[in-house]
Amino acid sequence: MNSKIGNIEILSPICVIVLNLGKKFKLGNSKIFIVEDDLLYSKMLNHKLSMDTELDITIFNDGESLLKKLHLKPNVITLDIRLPDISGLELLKKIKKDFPTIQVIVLSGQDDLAKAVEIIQSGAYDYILKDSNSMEKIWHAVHQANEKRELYNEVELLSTEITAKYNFRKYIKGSSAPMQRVFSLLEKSSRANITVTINGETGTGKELAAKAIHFNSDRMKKPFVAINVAAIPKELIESELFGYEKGAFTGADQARAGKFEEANNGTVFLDEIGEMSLSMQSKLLRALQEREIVRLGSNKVIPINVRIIVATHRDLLQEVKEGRFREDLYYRLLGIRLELPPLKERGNDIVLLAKSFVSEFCRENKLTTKDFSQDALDKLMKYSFPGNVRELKAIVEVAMVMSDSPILEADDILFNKRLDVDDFIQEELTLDEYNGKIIKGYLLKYNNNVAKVSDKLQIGKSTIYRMIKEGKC
Amino acid sequence: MDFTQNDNSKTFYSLAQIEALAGLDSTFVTEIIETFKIVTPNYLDQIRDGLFSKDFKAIQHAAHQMKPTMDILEIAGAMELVREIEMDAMRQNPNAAKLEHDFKQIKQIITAVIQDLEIRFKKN
Repeated sequence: MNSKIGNIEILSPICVIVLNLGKKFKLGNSKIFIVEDDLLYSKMLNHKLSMDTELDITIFNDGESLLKKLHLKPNVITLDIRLPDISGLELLKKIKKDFPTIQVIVLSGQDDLAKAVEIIQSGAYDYILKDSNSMEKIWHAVHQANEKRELYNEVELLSTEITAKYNFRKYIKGSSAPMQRVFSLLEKSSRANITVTINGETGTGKELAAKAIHFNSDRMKKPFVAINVAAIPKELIESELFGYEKGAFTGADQARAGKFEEANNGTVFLDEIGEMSLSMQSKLLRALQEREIVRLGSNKVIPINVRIIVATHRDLLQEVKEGRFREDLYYRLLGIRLELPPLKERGNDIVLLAKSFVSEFCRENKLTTKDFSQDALDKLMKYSFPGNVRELKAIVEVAMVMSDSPILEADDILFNKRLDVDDFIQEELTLDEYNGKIIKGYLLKYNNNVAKVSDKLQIGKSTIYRMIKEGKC
Repeated sequence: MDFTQNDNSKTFYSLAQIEALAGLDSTFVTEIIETFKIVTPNYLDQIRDGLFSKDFKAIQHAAHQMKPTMDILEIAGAMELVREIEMDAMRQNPNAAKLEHDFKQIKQIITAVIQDLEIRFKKN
């Protein structure tokens, strides 16, 4: 005998009544799953929860059906403790194992305190008895659980955004050959738990690179703690890195964890490691070797698990040779060496970056976008950018502010110093060496296009080939 | 107790909770009543079959499932009976005679409720 009640088809009065599985009764923002094999109770519950039009409700009458749709990641599940195919407790454990942030409210017809405790300890958000007040209780519990889940969703979304933000190729812009090598090393660095030493002039993006490595590694959900060693007075660096106990020194009114503890299981980024004093270097070496620290004024050893990324504009090997950097620490930090090229060696990246800074500025300040004139771009391409990317950004932003026209002209591009000449002659090279440098610079700029370089410099292609063959450029 | 009364002044069940939940939606009340009229006899059949085949687990399950509905409709005496049936079926050595007796009682109650509902909703 078949009959129909509303939109539910009863296949047989004796068999288990099958609901229209997965049928959504209302569209809304938060997905709620009801798992209930009693038809009457599920209708009552659905009707109650449907009063909130922002809840998107789906009903299941057994555990198997739910498990098939769990990948839809509902915010909240109301779960009957007794289902025909699986115990509610077992199902709860499965849900929490695979999707720990889904909030589960367990409903039971039995007032069993021991069971309730076991259910809550297994990760249920709440345990509600199916009595005359249960509809109201479930309503409130679902809304509170939903709020909790929304917070988890927000955190997940922010984590994803952070990862997207530090996606190598999206936010570290560059298509030049030197940058392709950097991207390759960044990817390799993020995959392995290995120390990275980042070399580069000021403004080349050392911290950005360090963050990119961290937020693309398996430590991405753990802290990233950056310390600029040069910015901290030498007498305070130890307490800053390792923390201190109350009374460890004058002014230590309470205990404080250091950066290594803060970063535990995450990444510590030591910027300008070359500025660290020798005595502090030895303490750092010990911490890295023993994987433990001791706060100032304490005897207690604290184990640490951090990934180290260091950066410097100095040549550390040279510093070692000149006795300013410990050799053993140098070799301890010798993992992947990442060289960030100065902007002047990145060729057309200057244009790429300049245009992206214009877009970013317009977006942030709600302005109409501007373009560069060819003269402006040529002017940028000729400059040496001692401040690298940071300086380029500043120059573009000033140009955006000062220009009243939709096109940024050469006159809008203002540098802090005269173009290059002083830097150039200070090196005191031979004329042949200067020529080699110029040709090398142009080859980098024009992606080794000899014909183009020959045209720009008004010299023969054979001259360029000869210089290349002789290793002068 | 006479479970065959259908005089509204001496109701042995109540639709108050369902009506409160339904609000202005009278079709919801009808839907719930119709569901009750199909689902509850099914549970009774499961208890009856369980008694016949001495499947006490099935009896316990059906009784457990019936409990919330008895509560929602506030059926006089039914909640206690169903609870008794559930507890008795869970025992090490269930008392079949007592179960049989309680089953007859609950069946009488439910039958009376359904009859009354049919009259009441046909009238409306």
